[in-house]
Amino acid sequence: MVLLLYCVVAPAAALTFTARLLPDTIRQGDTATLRLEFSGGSPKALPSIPAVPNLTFAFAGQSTEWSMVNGQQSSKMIYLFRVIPAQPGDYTIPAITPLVEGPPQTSPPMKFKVLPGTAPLPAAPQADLDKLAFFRLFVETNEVYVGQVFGVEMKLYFIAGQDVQLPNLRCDGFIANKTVNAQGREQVGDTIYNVISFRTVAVPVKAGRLAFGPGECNITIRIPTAAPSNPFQPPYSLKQVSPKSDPVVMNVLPLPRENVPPGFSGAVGNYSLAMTAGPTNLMVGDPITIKVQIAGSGAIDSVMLPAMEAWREFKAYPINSKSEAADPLARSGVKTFEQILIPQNAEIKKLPGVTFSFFDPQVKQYRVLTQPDVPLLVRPSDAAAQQPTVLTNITANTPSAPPPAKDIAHIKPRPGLLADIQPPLIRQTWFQVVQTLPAFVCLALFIRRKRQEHLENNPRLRRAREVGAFVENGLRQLHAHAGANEDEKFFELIFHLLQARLGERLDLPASAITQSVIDEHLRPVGWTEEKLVPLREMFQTCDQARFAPQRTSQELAALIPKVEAILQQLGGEPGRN
Amino acid sequence: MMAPRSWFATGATVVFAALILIALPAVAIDFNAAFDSAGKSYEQGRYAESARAYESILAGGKTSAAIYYNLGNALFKDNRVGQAVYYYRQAERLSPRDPELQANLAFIRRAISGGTEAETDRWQQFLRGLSLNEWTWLALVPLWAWLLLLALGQWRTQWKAKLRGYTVTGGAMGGVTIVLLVSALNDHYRAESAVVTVKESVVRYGPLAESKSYFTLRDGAEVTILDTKDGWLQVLDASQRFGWLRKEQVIFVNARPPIRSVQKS
Repeated sequence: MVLLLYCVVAPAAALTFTARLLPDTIRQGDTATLRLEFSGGSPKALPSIPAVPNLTFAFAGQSTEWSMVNGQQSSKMIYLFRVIPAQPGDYTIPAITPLVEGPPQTSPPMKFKVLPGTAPLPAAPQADLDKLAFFRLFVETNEVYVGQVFGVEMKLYFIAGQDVQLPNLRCDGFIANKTVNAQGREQVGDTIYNVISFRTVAVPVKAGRLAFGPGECNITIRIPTAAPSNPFQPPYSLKQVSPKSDPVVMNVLPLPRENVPPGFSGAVGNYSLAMTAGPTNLMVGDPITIKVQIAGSGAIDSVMLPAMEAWREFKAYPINSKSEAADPLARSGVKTFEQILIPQNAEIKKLPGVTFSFFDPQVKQYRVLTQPDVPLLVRPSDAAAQQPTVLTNITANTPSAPPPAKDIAHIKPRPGLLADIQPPLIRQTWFQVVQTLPAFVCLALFIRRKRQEHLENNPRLRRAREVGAFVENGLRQLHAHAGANEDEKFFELIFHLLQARLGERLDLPASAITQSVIDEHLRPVGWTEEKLVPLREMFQTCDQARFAPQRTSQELAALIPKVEAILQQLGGEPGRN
Repeated sequence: MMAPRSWFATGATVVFAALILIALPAVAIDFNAAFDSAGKSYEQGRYAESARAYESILAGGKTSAAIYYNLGNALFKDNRVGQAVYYYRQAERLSPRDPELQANLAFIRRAISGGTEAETDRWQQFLRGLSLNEWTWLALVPLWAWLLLLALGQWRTQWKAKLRGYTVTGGAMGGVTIVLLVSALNDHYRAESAVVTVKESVVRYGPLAESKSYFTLRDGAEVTILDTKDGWLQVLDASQRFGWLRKEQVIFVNARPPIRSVQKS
């Protein structure tokens, strides 16, 4: 490891003398300041400035500055002279040799330029700006492993400035955390600088030789100017600069591929493991609260609890986790995981201990931490007392069981058969109505069959219906015969109608019915003469017609109502089934 | 010869029928185009837009198991787990044996419960192996056959003896399938179930905002409704814990899909 720090030790107690002209270019009408600094002592007398034509040097005062650098106290005596030019031109201020103790001290000659009153002043050269403010990037170590946390410090050095912004750090291939800043002063060379330190940590996410940085920080610095003619105007100008640091080359090593422990989830650092579980005496279905603490140094926030396959006999609820950093940069801390497990059967005797593995970059090896099993006493609940041992995930016991899915299955490429959004068929009215149809059909056929059976079992009823149909049909044929003047057929049909009706009423064969039936069967059952006379006459008419069939259609048609009346009187309306 | 007015009526009817026949494929194409567009949005990772597109198909009054399933996927990817479960359940009613659907439901249920999902009893699994319409057809076929055989026997009594065996068999099968259909209906409608659609729903001991909280349910948790009171629901979760939560924090599985007008983005 190489610790890169700029650390300049203050010089010894010997007096040093420096002279500085600020600024070295002014416009006519302005003045500059000649600053004589004595460190480690003071001159015996007020330093005298060699005369320069057209330049006037006016003593502007003296001051003493004290500073503490790396525990060493030092002081500086400062003498200020105003330099007033009489006219524009290029001047050279000769070397100044003050009267001091010890070996003589001489400053180098200084160039001084005075421009005409309207000429623009040149911009401060970059080299001068770099002296006023610069930015440095330091890392804790140049060689790390992927996932290993390392410290980073960015320092902004400036003499005088304001409006410092947080630095931007280019760190492709790394993840940088939040920064913590601090202020102080440091001596670099012979200059005391104000220093703002930005500290953070970073974690490489890929292996290789990677450039870390550069870093850049915006600051508004004060650039000293000539003493203004307006006493209310400050003797400096403000300029925003963005000093940039050089990048640092990091050698990021990949984690070893050999001997990677199962369940390794990428944790790099140095950790300890602790686990508690309770209650341990419980019934099936009661919850056990598991608390696992992983503590140590490393990216503690990204530490994950490995999946515990050994806990498959428990029903597991989602894990809650909480991180507590031990330092402002979160380089170390404690992460606590809390999970609730529920034993599913009374056969469970223990809760398998948690196993956590990580890579220790200090020893360059993987390490596995294991907690011991927690004995459990699981009593069957009342509802579960008779149940056999049931695993919550039976497929896990199957050798060929696939690993659990890590995402949902993809969408379907085709919409399939589109249908209206509606309730199930069984709840739709039209469907319910349709289902009654076969029942109605069956019922109707059943009723029909019963009626047929009833008829078949009642010959007289059947005969009555047949005769009724015969009579109805016969009466229609009578009209036809009458219209065709077919008197023979006309009277024959009347005779058959009378035979059929009388045979049906008297339960006698139709062919046996003659006129004599009137006296033999009808009179005894109480038929009156009023009813019998028309019937007898109709029989006689039919007999006479055999011998004298000459009748007109009108005469034949006139008989039909009489026939209808007789038949109706005999037993029912024509055509009754 | 037809009168002119009859000619006009006949011609108008033919033209109208032709327009309908021409329009029908266009309507079908619209739904297919919307489906493909929604799928494209899903593939591009624009899950909210994909969900809106599937919902627009539902707003058109048409659906299928695939549409419900895809909508569930889009909602899940858009972190609306409860609504995803609701649409998966709708898809399950139309296509209960879809392995991808069952896998997705199991995936979500495992993620919510933190372990394996609760086992349903075998009888319930058997009943839910067919959709209600499938159970209906399964019951109606032997029932109709039985009734028609009975009708045939009434119509032709001389066939009754020959058909007796078939009639008894048909009747027995019809009876069994009717019982199964009734059981499926009972399983479907007896216990109202709902899905939590908010990130976290606090379940309390009583139906009051002041009641002490008992446990919380995550987005996507499925519950059985036991009782209702004043905008609160008494629910039973998969771990057999029961309590009260706010009605607006869940969506009922038996409710019709919340079809709303979808504004194009």
